[in-house]
Amino acid sequence: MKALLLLLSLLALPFMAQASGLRITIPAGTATVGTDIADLKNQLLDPRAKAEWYADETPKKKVEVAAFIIDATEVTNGEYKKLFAEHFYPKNLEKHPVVNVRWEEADDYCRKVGGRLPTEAEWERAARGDDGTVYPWGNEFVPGSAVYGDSIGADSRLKVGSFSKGASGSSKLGGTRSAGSNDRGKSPFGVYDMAGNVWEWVDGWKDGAIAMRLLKGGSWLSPAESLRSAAKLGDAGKERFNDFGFRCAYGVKR
Amino acid sequence: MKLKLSLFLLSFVLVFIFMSGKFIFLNKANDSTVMGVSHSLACPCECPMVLEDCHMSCGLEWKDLIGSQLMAGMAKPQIEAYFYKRYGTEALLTPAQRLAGKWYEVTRGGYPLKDIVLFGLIVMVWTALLYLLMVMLAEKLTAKSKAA
Repeated sequence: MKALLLLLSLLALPFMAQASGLRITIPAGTATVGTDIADLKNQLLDPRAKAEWYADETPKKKVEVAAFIIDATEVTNGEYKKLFAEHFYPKNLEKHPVVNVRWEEADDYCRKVGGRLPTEAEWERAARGDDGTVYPWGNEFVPGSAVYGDSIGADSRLKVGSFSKGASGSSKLGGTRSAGSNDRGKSPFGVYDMAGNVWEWVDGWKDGAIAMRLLKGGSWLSPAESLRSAAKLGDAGKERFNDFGFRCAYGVKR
Repeated sequence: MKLKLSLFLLSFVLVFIFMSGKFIFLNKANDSTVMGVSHSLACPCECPMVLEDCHMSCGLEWKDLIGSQLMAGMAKPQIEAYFYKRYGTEALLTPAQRLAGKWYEVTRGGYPLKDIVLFGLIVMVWTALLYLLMVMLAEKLTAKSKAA
């Protein structure tokens, strides 16, 4: 009986396993960064979304990127706690991406594990692949491929600021999903959750005169437009939010 | 008599629409202030209010964020873009939502009789002034047409 149980457990392992903790090598190549304004207008799905709100990602550029390694998933609560013991999270969220981290804290974590935050070009290369797709999974929006604003309310009326459900723009934990649990949203290089779940801090500054740190990928609160890999958000990086997380990148040893 | 009654009703309707529209849609604060920006955003709490009227902790949190963004040098369109990118249409207001939000703002503590009476008085004063103006104009036009 014990042997049978062991056999069943082993058979079930591939289905239970998640990509958390894995790293993926991205080969050197050309990253597609940003969007052209004509394409941008066609990519806005909600008629209330204005192209000028996303104009900071125009025009489309080609950037040469050296080979690098990137986390297959966003850094999770469990991983973060290993380095920062004071980090608190409900036990059932161990495999969810860590949130409520400032840019400096994300950068500090990545340096402590021997890496750094990815640059915007690296992030977009990992998300869009060689073909420079609009979303990590392709050029068309597929609702089930990411956890985002319209997808979290499937079994509840989870709204921004709905304190009773612990989901607000505040520091309360929200509607994230286990990092690396959705194969449908993988990028061409096999990187998980580059659209939705949490906005990810990247290295560098948002263009313009105002000093703001960059975030990519959209979150569990975002509209579909923000899930496009070219979309970027600028934030002062001083506040902690429950839709901001990160993943790390690493150099390739020659 | 019939003309005067029609003019009075017309004056009342015009003043009522103008005053209500002003209360609901007019941004009373400058775009470079927290109130000016939050006039265009929805309250993130469960109430259906306009953010400028929201004093719940979640609303205040957004107002704090707007304040820090203004201090960092962001303009109103940039802040609106930030909120849409993060929260989508949850952060935006349709005219119907704004109307519902303002109605909730007025009635959330019961029906504020004092405010309603004051609003009614202001409407009546402006109605009377507009009515007198219209009557004067109508009489002048009648006199002119009679002289012709």
